[in-house]
Parts: sequence; C-alpha cells; structure tokens
Amino acid sequence: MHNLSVTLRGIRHRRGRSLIVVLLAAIATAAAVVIPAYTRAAQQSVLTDTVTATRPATVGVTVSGRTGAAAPDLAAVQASTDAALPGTTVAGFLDPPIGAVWWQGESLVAPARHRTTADVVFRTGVCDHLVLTAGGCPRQRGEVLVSARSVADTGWQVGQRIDIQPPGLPGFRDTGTRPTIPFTITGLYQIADEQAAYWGSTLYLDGGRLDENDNYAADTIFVGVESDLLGVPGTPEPRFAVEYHLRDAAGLRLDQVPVVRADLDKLSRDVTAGAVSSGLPASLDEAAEHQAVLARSVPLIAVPLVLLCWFVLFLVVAALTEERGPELALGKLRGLRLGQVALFAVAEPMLLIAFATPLGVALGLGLTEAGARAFLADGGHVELRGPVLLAAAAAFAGAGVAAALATRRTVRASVLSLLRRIPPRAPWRAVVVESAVGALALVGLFQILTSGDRTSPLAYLAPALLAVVAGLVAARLLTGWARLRGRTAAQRGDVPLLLATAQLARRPATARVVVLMTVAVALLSFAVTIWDVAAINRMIAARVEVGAPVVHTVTAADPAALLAAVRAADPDGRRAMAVAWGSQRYADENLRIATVDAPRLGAVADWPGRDAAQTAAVGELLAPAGTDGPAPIPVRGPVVEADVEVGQLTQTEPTRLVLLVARGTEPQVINLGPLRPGQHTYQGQLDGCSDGCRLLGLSVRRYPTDSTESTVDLTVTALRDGGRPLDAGLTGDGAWRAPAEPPSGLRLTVRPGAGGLRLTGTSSSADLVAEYADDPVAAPAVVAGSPLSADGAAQEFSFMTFGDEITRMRVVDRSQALPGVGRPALMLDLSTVLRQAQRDGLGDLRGWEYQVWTTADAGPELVAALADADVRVIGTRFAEQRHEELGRLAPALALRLYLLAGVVAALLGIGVLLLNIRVGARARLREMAALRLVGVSRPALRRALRREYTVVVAVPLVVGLVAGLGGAALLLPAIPLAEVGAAALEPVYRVGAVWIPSAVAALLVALLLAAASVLRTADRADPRLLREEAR
Amino acid sequence: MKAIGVTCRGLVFIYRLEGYDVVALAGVDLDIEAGQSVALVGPSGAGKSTLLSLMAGLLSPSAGRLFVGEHDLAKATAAELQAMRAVDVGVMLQGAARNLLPYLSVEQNVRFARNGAVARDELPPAREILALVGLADPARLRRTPGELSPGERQRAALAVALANNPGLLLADEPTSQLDTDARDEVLAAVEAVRAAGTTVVVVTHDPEIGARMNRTVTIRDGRVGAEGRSGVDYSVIGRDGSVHLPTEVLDVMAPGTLLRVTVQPDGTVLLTPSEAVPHAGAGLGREDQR
Repeated sequence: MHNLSVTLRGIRHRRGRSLIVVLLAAIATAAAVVIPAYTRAAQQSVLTDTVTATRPATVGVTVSGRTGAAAPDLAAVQASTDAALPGTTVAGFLDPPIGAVWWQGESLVAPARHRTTADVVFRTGVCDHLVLTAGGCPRQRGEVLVSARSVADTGWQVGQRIDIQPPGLPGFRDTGTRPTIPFTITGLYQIADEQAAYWGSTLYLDGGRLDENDNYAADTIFVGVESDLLGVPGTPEPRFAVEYHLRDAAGLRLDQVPVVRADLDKLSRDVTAGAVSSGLPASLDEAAEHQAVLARSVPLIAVPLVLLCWFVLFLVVAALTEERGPELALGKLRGLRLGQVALFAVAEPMLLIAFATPLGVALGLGLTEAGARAFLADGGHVELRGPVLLAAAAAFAGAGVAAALATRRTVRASVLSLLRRIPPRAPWRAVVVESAVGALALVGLFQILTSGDRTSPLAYLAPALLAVVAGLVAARLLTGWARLRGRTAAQRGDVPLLLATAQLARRPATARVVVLMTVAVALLSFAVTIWDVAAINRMIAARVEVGAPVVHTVTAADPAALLAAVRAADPDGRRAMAVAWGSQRYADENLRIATVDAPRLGAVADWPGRDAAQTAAVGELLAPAGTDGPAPIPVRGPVVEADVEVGQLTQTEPTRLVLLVARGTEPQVINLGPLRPGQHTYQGQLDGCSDGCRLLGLSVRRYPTDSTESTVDLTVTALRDGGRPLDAGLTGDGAWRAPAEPPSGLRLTVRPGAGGLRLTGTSSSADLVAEYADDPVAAPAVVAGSPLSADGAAQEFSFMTFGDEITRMRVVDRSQALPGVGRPALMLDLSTVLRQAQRDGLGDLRGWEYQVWTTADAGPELVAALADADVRVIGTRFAEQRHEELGRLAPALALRLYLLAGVVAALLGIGVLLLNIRVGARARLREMAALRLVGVSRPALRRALRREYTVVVAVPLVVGLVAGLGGAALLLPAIPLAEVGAAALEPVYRVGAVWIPSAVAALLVALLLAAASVLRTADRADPRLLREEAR
Repeated sequence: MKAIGVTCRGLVFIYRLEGYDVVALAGVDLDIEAGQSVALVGPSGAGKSTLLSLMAGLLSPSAGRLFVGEHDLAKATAAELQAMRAVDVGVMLQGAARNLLPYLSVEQNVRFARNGAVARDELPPAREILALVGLADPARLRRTPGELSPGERQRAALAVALANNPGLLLADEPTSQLDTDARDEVLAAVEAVRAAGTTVVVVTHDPEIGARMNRTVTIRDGRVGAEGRSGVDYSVIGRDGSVHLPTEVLDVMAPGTLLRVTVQPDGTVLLTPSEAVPHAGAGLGREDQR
C-alpha cells in the first residue's frame, strides 16, 4: 500500500486532530512570517508617516543662492539642476520646480500713508495660486501685484504707480545712489490657501503691521517678471530658490531610501548653480530611529511566540503519536523497519505541516496586511520578500523538527508497550529538559535584572523567560501538592479528591498543560498590562505635545494683538486661549517657554494628570485674580508734572528726570527736564496717550558717557497728569520699588514716606529707576524638567527669557511636562509677560510662534473671527490626530505585536487545554468506565473531574497573571512607551480599569468553558464500553 | 512459503514489575514441528500469551532457548526480529480491531502489512490471501474494519497476519467474543491456513479450536503441563523430570501427598501414595500412552 495513501487516509480519519496540527503549524508559521513582514510594513509605515508629516517643500529639494555669473537667472539654475537629476531615483519623487527670486531685505515703497516697507518677490506661476480681488495678473516688466490687505493701510489702488527702492548693499552707507524703480499696480491679491504646498515654507502674508514709529510692513509685492529684480545697480544681487517639492511622499519605499540619500549627495556635488538643500535626510534619520527600535523589538517579541507555537506543536504531535501507538505497533508487528515506522509516524504531521506552511504564510501576511490597513500608514503594506520566505522555511523546518522529536519516543517504544493502554510516565529526559529550560530562563532573567541596563534588546525576552520559569515552577509545585493531598485523600477515603490528585500528580500531560497555560496567561497579562500603560502614556504624550484638543498656529502682529484678538473672538473664555511660545538654549537643552492667557488655561488646555479644575487652579496661580499691589494708573497727558526735592546730586554731567509710561506694547520715556538740587517742579509732554498709558515709574537718567560714581538722593512729593494730581501712592508702602534685577554697580533704595517717595542711589553709570509696582516683581511660573537655577528646588530665580532682559520668576508649581511645550519648559501668563514687556520691550517675543488653543467644539466661526482680527491660521494640530500618529510610531507598533502575541498565546493555552481533554478522552473514558465498574459513583467522578480541572485552570491563571504583571514591571522601565529618543517623556506607570480585568475575565470564561466540556466524560462513562471495545 | 517449526528449551520469562518479579514462564520445553497446528490452552495467567509473544519476538526470553525456524530468538537483535516478522512469522493479536488500521479497507490493510516484506513481488496477491480466509467478495474488501461483521473482522485480521505469507502463524484468542457462526467461519479460515502448510500456533480458551488442531499444549504455572493429541490428553515429563498430573488426580490425592514412584517390570510406572494401598488406577502405563 502506498505510504502517501495511508497517510492521507490517516489524516482524514483523524480530521479533528489533524485540523489542530494544521492550525498550530499555521500559527507557528504565521508568527514566524509576521516577524519580517510586520517589521517591514511597520518600518515602511514609519517612513511614510515621517516623510508625509513634513511639508513637501521641506522634504523636497531646494537649490538656492544669489544670482550672479553662476546663476544668472532661474532658467539657468533650473537647467543646472535638471541636468543632474536624470537617472536618479529622487527625480521620480519631485514635482516640477517652482522658482522664486527676491531682494534680500525690505524695500521701501512709496507713496503710502506710512513709511512702508515690503518684500518684493518673483515666484513662478504665482497668479495661479492667488485670488485677485481687483485688476489682473502682472505680465510684463514694471507691473506688480499688491495684497488687498496692505491696500487698506497704504491707500494704494489698481493702476497706481508706486516707486520701490530696493535694499542697499550691506555694510555700505546709503549714499542715495540706489535707484527708485517705478512699478504699476495691476491687481490686488489674497492668498486663497496659505497652507497650500505651492507656497513652500515661506510666509508671504507676514505684513500688515504698523509699529509705534509709524513704520508699516506691507505684505509681499509680487512682480510679474523675474528680470524686474535682476541687475539693479547699488542693490545686492537678488536671492533665488528653485524648489522641487516632494511628490507622492507615501510612495517612497524603504528600498529607495539609501538610493535617495545617495542621489541627494550626488545632487549637492553636481549642481553648481546654487546650494542644494533638503529636509528629507533629516526626516529619513528620524524615521530610521523608529525603524531601528522596530527591528530590535519585533523579533524579540515574536520569537518567544514562535517557540511557544513549536512547543505546543511538539506536545500535540507527541500526544497524537502516543494515541497512534497501536497503529505504530501494527507496523512493527508486520515487520516494518524502524525507518519505515518512523516515516509512518511522522508522515502525517509532516504532511499536515507542509500543508499548513503556505496557509501560515498566507495567515501571517494576511494578519500583517490587516494590521497595516487598520493601524499603519497608507504606505505600510505587506511585501512578499526573501526574508518572509526564509522565515516560512525556518518555521517549516522548526515545526518539522518539533514533530520529529515528538514522535521519536513513541517510534522507539516496543510493540507491547505501544499496545498497552496505560499512559506512560514522564521519562527522566523530560525532567532533564525541563530543568535545563528552567535553569536557562533563570540565568537569562538574572542577567537582565543584574546588568543594570534594562534597555538592552534582550530585556524584551524577560517576560517570556519569567513566564517559562513561572510555568515550570507552577507545574512542579502543583504535582507535589497533588501528591501530598492524594495521600491525605486516601487516608480520609475521599474518592473524588483522590482521583483528582492522582491525575494531577501522575499524568505528565497535565503538568505540561499547566506549564503551557501559565506561559500563555503570563504572556497575555503581560501584553495587556504593557499595552494599557503605553496607551495611557501615548495619550499623555499627545496631550503634552499638542497642548489642547485643537491648536492653531497663527500669524499676528504681536502677542498683544494675538491676546486681544482671541479674547475678542471668544469673550467668554471657554473655547480659546492665546499662546505665544519660543525656545531658549539653556544648559545644552532647548528650554521652551510658553506664555498663555492663564485665566483660560482650565477651560482649554489639556494638562496630563490634572483635570479642568486643577488646570484652572494652575492658571489662577499664574495670573492671580486679585494682586496685593496697587492698581495700574493710566496717564493721559498732554502734560505730566512731578514735584521733586533733590537733597543730594553729586553728578557733574547733566542728569535728567524722566517719567516711564507704556504706550501699546513698548515703554516710552517722557523727559521731565534736567535734575537740579532743591525743590522743583519738573514737566514733560505726553503725546498719544489720550486713551491712557500705563504709568511704569520714574527714572534718573545719567548722561550717556558719564561713568563716575555718583549719588542721588531725591524725594518725589507729587505727580500730576494733565494738571490733575495723580494718586500714585508716593507715601504708602508697596506702590513703588527698586528693580528686581538692578544693573551691576547700582545701589538703590526706594522708600515711600510721609514726605513722598524717596530715591537714594549710587551708581557708576546705570540709571536709577523707581518702578510703580502694579505688577509682581517675579512672574509666576510653572516649571517642567531640568532646574533653571543652580538650586533646582529654588522657588525664585532669574532667567534671560525675552532677548537681553533678565526676568525674575517665582515657581508656583512644578510639573513633569507642560502642555504644548513638554519639557524642559516654563509656563508664564501672557498678560503678565506683556506687562513686563511694557517695561523692557517685547524683545524676542515678536519672533515667537503664536498659537490659539481651542476646545474641540470651537468651530470655524472662531477661526473666521480671528481672521477678522487679522490673526490668520497657518497650521492646525489636533490632539486626537497626534494620538493616532503616536499609535503608528515604533513603540506602539512593537507593543501591538506584543498584544497579538499575548492573544495568540492565550488561544494556544485554551487550545492546549481542549486538546488535552480531547486527545486523552477515550483513555479517560475507559478509566472512568473501569472506575464505575468497581463501584465509583457518577457524581463522585464528576466531582473528581471538577476538582481536577478547577486546579488546572486556576493555578495557571493566578501564577500566569502574577508572572505577567511581574514581567511588565521588569520591562516597563526599559521600553519606550510612546515616543523614542529625546522626545520621550518620563513614563507614567498606571493602568486603566478596563484592559486587564477584561482580559482576565475573558480568559477565565474561555478556560472554564473549555474545562466544562470534560464533565460530560463522567456522564458517558459506562462499564459496557469496556466490553464493546474488546470486540 | 515454507512452514517453520518452533523449539523451546527451558524457556523462562520473568516480568519485572515495580518492586518484584513475576515468573511467567518457568522453563518451557516445547517442540512444534513445521506444518503442525498447535493450540496453547490453559488457565488465565498461565503464560500462554507470554509464550506466544516470545515466539513472535515481542518479548525476549529471560533464560532458555527459543528457536523459530532458523532464528535464535534469545540472541536475535531488534532488526533480526523485525526481519523475522516481515518474512517468517505472522502475528494475530487478541481482538480483531487491534490488528487493523481502522481507516484502511480490508484489502488495504493487507497491503499495508506487506510494506516490511523484502520480496513483495514474490508474495501471493492480497486477494488470494483474503480468499484463503473466506473474504473473496470484492465489495467487502473495500470496507473498513468498522463496516465488517465481527467474524469478518476477525478473518480480516487473520488475513493481515498472513499478508507476508509467513511460515508460522501465531494467533491469540482468534475466536473470543464471537458468536457460533462467526467462530465457525474463523475456525474454517484457520483450518484453511493450516491446510495450506503454515505452522499454526493458537492461544485459546476454546476447546473447539483445540479439537481442530494437531496438538493441544496445556500451559500451567508457566510450564507445559499436558499435551493432547488426537483427542487424548497426556501429561508431559519435563526436562527436570517434573510431571503435571491431570487435575482430576487432585480429587484422589490432595496436594502434599507423598508418592512413591515405582517402575514396574512391564515398563509402567506405579505412583503409590505413602499411606494408601496401591491400586491399578494410580498407575500410568507407557503402553497406554501409545
């Protein structure tokens, strides 16, 4: 009879068990295939996400420089670049170029209502991306487009001639030789979509600002032809940029990355017309960091699963072969040679494994593809590549070896022992192997725990090792316990307990099931725990990173305008908050400083670990509603006066008394006249303050070149504004103070008294200033991350925050990270900062990024209201979207695999339990029939089974759960939970109330259902079975 | 096929169990000539099946000699035993189902059993063997064991044991659990096998089988206690001079009775209990044995 035919008939005869072998082999193969397939797809996903998250212009190629001999015009630059592109892979990803030429520096434009400056730019195809509100597109030399917004401030009209004076040569004094070039306005424009890829990363609508000195910055003026800007004498050669935006970033495949990198290097060398730059390599580097994490972690997560699958397969095949013992005995009885018997034994599982391998490959690839579609970026798809096929081959070989080893013992058994119906005891070799595996696992664990470096990739193996150790220990302890209880039961005559403990103590299969189920439960509980913790950390990271449910990046004239616009757009303060933030280099770290409209913090910001009320409390700390200091005093002029008695004045150079007021966002100095000994009234002119300018203080201004140490002692007895006395608290405590951070060499006391405000100071060059104390000395601040002073716990510190000015700050709270800026970071109240800026100037605040944080329900009407106030949205981020993005970064992608491995392990555990029940069912039935024959009652049998399987389910569940949680505790400090690298926050080790209880409950129900099926065996046990089987 | 004889000399087999040994065979002397049919009978636990397993090479003798044809089973390696079963010895286990692969048809079972044979081409066709045991109907040959009647299943098991056309057939309880008709069918099949020249050794409790065999060998307490030939039972003198007396003698002489053994001038042997008057009934004449 042909062997294959016998094998196929045997498989069909045992179709249920054969199906289990196929499933297990397929799962093992799938798990093996998933390693390279998922790694690849996840790496591709990370690449796609990273590259597409950056603007096409940034990750594209830009050739830039200054026009000249090498690059006379855009056509020459483009020709030089186009000559280098053919044959490169990157060329396939580049859009047609967009050229731009512009004068570097602001050009003066006249006539206009104010002194007006603007950038003058040529950009190819610009009219296709503008909305012309009047007139038409400039077509020839001398024609320009101006922004409709600027026209409102300048009074320009379509058809009007304007004269543009380009910027001068740097380092040369303007001799008036710069030409003034006449242009005709042919049209007025608005930019339809400022975030469109066409505009690259340049802000063209960045004007619209009128400063205190009547300087108006208009929006960009577009010329119609490039030659208008070229070759203008007395003006620096204009700069150019030819931008090749990245097209179809999602189409960039992993294989192409090294080629693209090489292409960019080649372009840098070959293009001579300008400097080649691209943000693509930085993006690729960022992606590579995540890809490395995936490459390290995925195999270490999946390999234990593959090993578990093989081990289960080994047990299944061993059990099946044992069950086929009588068939093998027949082969031996008929004189089959040992090789033939071995083939007869192994042919079935091998054929099944061979059949399962392509199924497993399909399953692995299918799962990977399903995962890719569910949670990877669009580019991340499964690819049938060499490593996948190699993994499949390895899985087949591994499964084959497992099957061959599983059949070995039975094949070598004698005919009579194969025909015997008593289950064999565990051979000593199994004990040795178990001990060896346990010892190896312990050694591995010991190394991981004592190495001090749990960030080693090997740490990923710790949970699996711990699970194995726990499983082996549980099985051994259970066996020992059952033996002891068995003796007690025998003495007491407790038949059900005796039968249950006998099964637990004597059946090696039960011990193996306990090991496997413990490992399965441990892996599942570990995976669920770690996923739960990571999910919480991802949410925290997303909320920290974005700051609020929705964050708009906006343009605004200055922070004060932003604050006013947001408050006007959301007067209730429930939906939107103005934020300005920037960064400062400090102690080798970029310290981020966020200034927020603190009273709105609780309503809008997402502060991890704090609810809305707690966040509002932080806002209250940053901007206390009621201050201890005096109320701000508005001064309106037009004349301000001060009665001052000068007791001592040692300066010989002229010294002036000035009044300091704030007009708008900047400080103003009102000269009250030269200081003279004796009682005098000083007077100054205050213009432009009819609406009230804030009184900042008084100052004694020294002659600029005077550096002799001198002393001033004076008393201000009265202040008048517009002839009316000004109640400035000159005689009371707390209204006036010396600067918190006085310049070096200044010794100053400011003391109010009955006679007035007395200033006594000595300095070598610094001016003496008495500040009107309507704002706190130190700005309340929330600190996150590294300490900002030598004493990390200091409650007050000074920090150079906004340009050159040192800001005194008082720590009102500390946090692990701050919403929107992470850590290290500072958070201040924007209004407080603006009030301070009125003393010192806005400094760097003008260059900071302006944002509007909103709640999720703040609709487009808010954006429209902001736009009406000339605060335009140029970018928007969503916390939920960021959360999803974090779910596609390496840590989450690796953890998803852990979760999958945990679920598969749990299914294997349930399967092993079912198999244990099914495979031994016939023998068990015979045993029970025999027990019935000798008088054991059916209820006693049921009780025995119930007790046995309660223990078989409960012990792995409890031990596995403890081992899983222990594994999670071991590994959690080692793995990135939400982000990798510098962006990673300090992790929060907290679990939710859903994942772990749900997983345990589901597992418990599944195991109990599986175990319940065994109880039917007791009902079917009938002594007549024994007689029927004998025929 | 060439019939094979069996020779046992002082054959001993000891089962080694946990903590103690059990002597299953305590020196069996038995010669089975080639072509003979022998029924091994005796009470349960007497060692019949053990003797059969030894002849099949499934157990190795603890002591003594055992020859199956040319094979010295006391010295044979596992491979030699396997070769012996592939060519010379067919074994039929107790319980027909245990002899058959449940998922193969009757004919396929016979073919499967030939996989170990060296010269498969020289074997008679499977259907010829099946016909020998009375399974000639092609429709039945395509049935799996589960689809056959108990008698057919037993004959199928017999056919499988004969698949390699062995010189010695060893059958353990071939008629147990069968009704009368089925038993007759099986007996007919065994008879046909014997008639075809195969040496047949059957372990049985069934006196009917014993009656149909050339010889009946009674195994008792691990020894050959008696032999029956042509319907007459004989005690057998062992190599050590021991004799198992028929059980009915115990009705006359209780165990522990001292016997005086006297050889009479006429060649008969007189067994005289120490406290009893000798009488003719207690003697066994050599002439009578003939």
